[in-house]
Amino acid sequence: MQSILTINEVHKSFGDLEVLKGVTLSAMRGDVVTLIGSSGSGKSTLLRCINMLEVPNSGTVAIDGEEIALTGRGPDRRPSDANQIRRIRSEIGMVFQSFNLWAHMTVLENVMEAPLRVQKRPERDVRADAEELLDKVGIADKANAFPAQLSGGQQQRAAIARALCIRPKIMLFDEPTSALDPELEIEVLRVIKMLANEGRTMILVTHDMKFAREVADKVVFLHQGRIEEEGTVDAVFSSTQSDRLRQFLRAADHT
Amino acid sequence: MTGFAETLWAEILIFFRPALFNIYFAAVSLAIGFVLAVAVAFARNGKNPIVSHLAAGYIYAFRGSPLFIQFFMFYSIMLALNAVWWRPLGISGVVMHPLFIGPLTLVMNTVAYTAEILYGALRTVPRGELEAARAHGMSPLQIFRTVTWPNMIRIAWPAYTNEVVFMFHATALVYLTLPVVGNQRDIMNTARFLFERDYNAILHFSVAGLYFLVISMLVFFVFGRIYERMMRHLSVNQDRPRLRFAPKYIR
Ligand SMILES: Nc1ncnc2c1ncn2[C@@H]1O[C@H](COP(=O)(O)OP(=O)(O)O)[C@@H](O)[C@H]1O
Ligand SMILES: [Mg+2]
Repeated sequence: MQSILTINEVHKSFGDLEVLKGVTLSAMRGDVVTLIGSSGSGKSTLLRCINMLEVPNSGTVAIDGEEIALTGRGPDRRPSDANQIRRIRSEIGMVFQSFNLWAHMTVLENVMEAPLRVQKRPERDVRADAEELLDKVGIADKANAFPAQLSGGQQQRAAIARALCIRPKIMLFDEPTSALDPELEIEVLRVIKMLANEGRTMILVTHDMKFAREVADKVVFLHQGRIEEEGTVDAVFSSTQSDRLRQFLRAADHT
Repeated sequence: MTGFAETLWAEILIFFRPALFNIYFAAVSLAIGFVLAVAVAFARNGKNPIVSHLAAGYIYAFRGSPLFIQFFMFYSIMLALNAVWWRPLGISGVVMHPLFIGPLTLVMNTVAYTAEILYGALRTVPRGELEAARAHGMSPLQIFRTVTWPNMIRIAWPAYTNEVVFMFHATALVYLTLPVVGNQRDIMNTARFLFERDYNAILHFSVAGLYFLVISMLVFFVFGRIYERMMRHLSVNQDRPRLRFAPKYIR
């Protein structure tokens, strides 16, 4: 079976700070990969390298067997084919910690925007899709509301619907619930779990170890820009040999 | 009393046609100036350091010097060029006409002020919204349409409203500098013309001022309604954002 995501020897620095120090990682179709690690270990940066919101200084990323073409070296490295990068981005759904909905547009407009403008799909199709997705994430009644009129949990579910509406091959989640109050977290986690159970391919950064354990096919522990440990839930949470991971898990237990 | 009311009404009618000149100067300058200001704001905000510095220099020069002096200076330059360029080219009649030079000078000025407003707005467009647009595969043009423009215009609107009113007031300077052609007089020039006939300063200048006041209020009202509509996405319940005006009367 071919992997749908292949990250190979990715290095990324911001100025003198080397954040990713050679990360190699792959995911099969339908895999749910959870990315854990302490704050500042490079989880977000790694996730953002997948759709080139950050461009690696070296190393490659391939989506569904297609390598993203990059040109230049080091900090000047950038995608060489604007059409390719836009097409690949429009096949990857991304959900941010701070939702990042377009504030001046209604929920429905947010969800329909990229499929209409980027993918140029017919409006009737897109509208039907969007309404179905809003129903699925439980905010069908908020279709015509503006983001500011929703709770945080509702906004994040709207953002998930927006990412789903492009019919992504991969979904990326960057700590999707860490900006939410605990009682709002639950409704978002429920939606993500539902997506995981549908067999979607997802890369999920989370600080919630219980949740990471529940949904993951594969857990990756990032430590100071390197993968310190990866494997099944059991391998990582129960029988790891890594002192750093044990230490991290102990600390996470107490929060 | 009826005598006074009649005098006042007659005076108001007299100023109607001159007011059209002020409206013309303001409308043309603002329309052209806005388009150019968008370009200058993007140049200022762009990655190219040379272009950005040029834009910054332009903004600095025109915001840093009094409009009154810009009028005199620009008109003097145009006069100097008249003999060597405009007349030989046969375009002197157009180029030296106040209906041309007036808006031209005002455009150069409003471009600087408006560009500064838009540049400030551009820098505060929410990064997260831009990022979401990029992550969804939008092209630079689509990002502009979906995120940059709608945010920029909303952030800039209150300050731009003040700029519009200021521009309208600034049109009073046009015929203070430029020669009157035929009976093409604006509000200010008409007031001075009438004043020199009968020295009734109170009547002529208050009606002139009244025109500026009423039209300014109209602009505030219309722009305020547009703002409320633009910002309705933030109206959670009744706490609608409202425009607060702090016009600057000197520059
Ligand atoms: N755009 C950026 N510019 C400079 N430094 C950055 C940038 N993005 C992230 N960093 C730095 O990189 C390190 C890793 O950040 P991040 O990937 O966000 O970690 P995590 O998501 O695991 O908390 C941090 O030290 C952070 O300050
Ligand atoms: Mg992070």
